[in-house]
Amino acid sequence: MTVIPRPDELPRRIVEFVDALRRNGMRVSTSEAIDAARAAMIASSLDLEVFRLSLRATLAKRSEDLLLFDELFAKYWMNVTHWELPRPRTAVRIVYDEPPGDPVSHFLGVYSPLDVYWEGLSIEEPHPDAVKRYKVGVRSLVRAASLKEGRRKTRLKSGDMDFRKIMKRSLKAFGEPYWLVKSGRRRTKSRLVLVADVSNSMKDYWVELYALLSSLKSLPSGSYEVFLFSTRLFRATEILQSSRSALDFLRRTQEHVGLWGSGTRIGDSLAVLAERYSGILSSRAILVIVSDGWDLGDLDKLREVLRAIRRMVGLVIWVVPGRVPEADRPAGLDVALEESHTVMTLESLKDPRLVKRAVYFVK
Amino acid sequence: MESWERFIEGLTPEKLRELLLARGYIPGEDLVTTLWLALKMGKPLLLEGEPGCGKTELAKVLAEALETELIRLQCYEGIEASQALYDWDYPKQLLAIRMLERTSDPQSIEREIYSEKYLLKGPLLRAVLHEGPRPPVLLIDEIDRADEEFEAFLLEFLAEFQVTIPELGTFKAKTRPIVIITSNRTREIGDGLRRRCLYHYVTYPPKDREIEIIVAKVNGIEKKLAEQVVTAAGKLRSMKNIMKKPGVSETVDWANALKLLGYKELNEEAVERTLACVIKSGEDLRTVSPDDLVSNG
Repeated sequence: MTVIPRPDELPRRIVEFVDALRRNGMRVSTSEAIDAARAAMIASSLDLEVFRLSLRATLAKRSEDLLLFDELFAKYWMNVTHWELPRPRTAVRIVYDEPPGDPVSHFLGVYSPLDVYWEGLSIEEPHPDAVKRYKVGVRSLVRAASLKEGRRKTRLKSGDMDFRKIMKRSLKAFGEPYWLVKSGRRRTKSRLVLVADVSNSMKDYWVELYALLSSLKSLPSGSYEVFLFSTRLFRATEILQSSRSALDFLRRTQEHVGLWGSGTRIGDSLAVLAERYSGILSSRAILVIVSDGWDLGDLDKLREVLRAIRRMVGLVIWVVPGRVPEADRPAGLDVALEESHTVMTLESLKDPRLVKRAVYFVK
Repeated sequence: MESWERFIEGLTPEKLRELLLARGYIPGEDLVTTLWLALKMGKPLLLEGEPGCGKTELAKVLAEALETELIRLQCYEGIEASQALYDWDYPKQLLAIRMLERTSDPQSIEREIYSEKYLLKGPLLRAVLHEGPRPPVLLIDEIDRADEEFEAFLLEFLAEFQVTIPELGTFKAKTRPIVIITSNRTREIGDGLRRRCLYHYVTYPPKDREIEIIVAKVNGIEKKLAEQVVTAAGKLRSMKNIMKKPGVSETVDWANALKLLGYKELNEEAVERTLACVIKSGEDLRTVSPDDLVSNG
C-alpha cells in the first residue's frame, strides 16, 4: 500500500529515502535533496505517479540510475512499515576466504561460469615511476590519435590570415593593422575510453593496471572515461578520480558492484558499452581494451561487437598484459587480433615511440 | 495576457499537456510532469537521450505554447563565452574610429566605440535583456558538444542570470528565463550542471505514442501505414549491428516520404526506395535488407 506522506512528515521521509539511494551507490547531493523536498511539496497534492516523477527528476540525474531509482522507490514508498534498506546490487556469487590451493578448484574458480570472489582483497601501490611512464605513453597516444580538425582556431606562424583577429588587435593602434595574425584550425582533442578486464585471470596485473588507471588522472577531466568489467560492465571514472590509493579504489569499486570476480564475458560487457554508452563512442574516441582475452562468453558475439565498435570510434587498441606465446593464445585474443586496429602490450604503452608508431601504422 | 506569476500558479500538468498537444507535440506523462516541475520551481531542465526524439522540438513548442521568444544557443566544440554572451563589432568600431579621429578626442572616441550600438549580443545576453510579459525560453542545445570550460562558465551564468560587460556594467534578468538544456551524451555532463537542473531521459516513445506522433505530423497518412513504419523502425532499433538507430524524426521523415510516393502499405519495394530516409549511414544501409523490415503477418 502506498501513501504519500503528510507535508509535515515529508522532509524526514525524503532524507530517509535519499539515504537509501546513497547506500545503493547513487550520488545525491544535499542541494538535490532540498530540491526533491521542494518538488515533493509541490507534487504531494497530486497523484502518486506525479510524486514519483517529481522525486525522479530531482534525485536521479543519470540514465543508468533510473532503473535503480524506480526499484528503490517502489520498495521504500510501498512498504514503509517493514522498511529495510536494500542491500547493494546483488549477484549470484561464491565467496572463498582465500584462493583455493589445489589446481582444479583454482581453475574452476578462475574460469567458472558463475561469479567467484575472493574475500580480503589486497593490492600494492604501484611504483611512482611506472605511473610516470604510463602518463607519458598515454599523453602521446592521445596526441598522436588526434585526427580531425575542429572549429576552434589557433595562432600559427604559417597559417591563413585571420582578419578578425587583425582587426581586433588594430583597435589598440587606433585602427592601424600593425600586427598581422595568422591562424589555422586546431585539431580536436581525442577522448580516451579505457575498458579494463578485472577478472581473476588478470589478478597478477592489477598493480600494473592500477598504475595505468592512475596515469589517466593527469589528463583533463572529461577527456577520458574508465570502465571495468569481469562478468558485467561498470563505469568507474568518478571513483578513480576521487580515489586516494589503489586499495581505496579497489574497496570502493567492490562496494558499488561485486566486480573482481571471475566468469569473464568480454563480448557481453562490450555490448553494454556500445549500447548504453554509445554517445561516448564517437569518432573522436580512442577505445583501449585491456584484457588477456580469456573469455567465457560467446566469441561470435565478441567479434560482432568489436566490429561494430570499430565503426563507431576512431581507434580500437587491444592491450594485453604481457607477451603470449602463440600456442597458449586464448581464443578471445584471436578475435582481438582480427577486429581491433592494433594490439599492444602494457609495457609498450609506456614507450611513447612505440605508441606513436602503432598509431601511425593504423592511420 | 495573464501575468507570468499567475499563469505559473494556475498551471497543472494536464494544462501543460494540453498546451503541448495543441501544437502537435505528443509528450509522455513523465516528460510533462518534469517540465511542469521545472516551470514551477524555476529550475533549468536537462534533457538527455537519443538523437531525434524531440528534445529540441520541446523547447520550440514550449516557447510557442507560452507565446514567448525562443532564444537558441547551439553548442559546438570550441564555443567560447564571447560567442554565447557578447562580442564587439570590430569592423564597425574601426569605421567609427576612422570617421571620428579628425573631429573627436580619444576619450570620446573610446566612449563612442564601446557603447551598446557596437555590441553584438549573444543568446545569453539576449535572454538576460529580454523585455516582455513572459520570460523567454532559452534553449542550450547539445551541451555535450561544448568543452568542459564552457560548461563551467554556464554554471556561473545559470546561478545568477547576470552578465557583466566591463565597459557598460552589469545586466541582470528581470525574470529568470526558462532554460532547457539538451545533450546527446557524446560526453558525460559534469555533476555540477546536473545538480542545478531537473533531469529527464528522453528515449524512443512506446509504439502507440509513436504512431500517434506520425499521424499528427504527416497529414493524411493512413493509420495502417503509420503502424507498419513504426514497427519497422522498432525492428531497426533492436538490430545490434545498426550503428545509427533511427529517432522519431527519422520515422516521421520516412512516413512522409512513403506518403509522398503514394504508398498505402510498407512493402519491399517501398522500403528499398525510401530506406535512406531512415538509415543515414552507408554501412548500415548495406547491413539491412528490406525483407527484414516488412512484416509477414
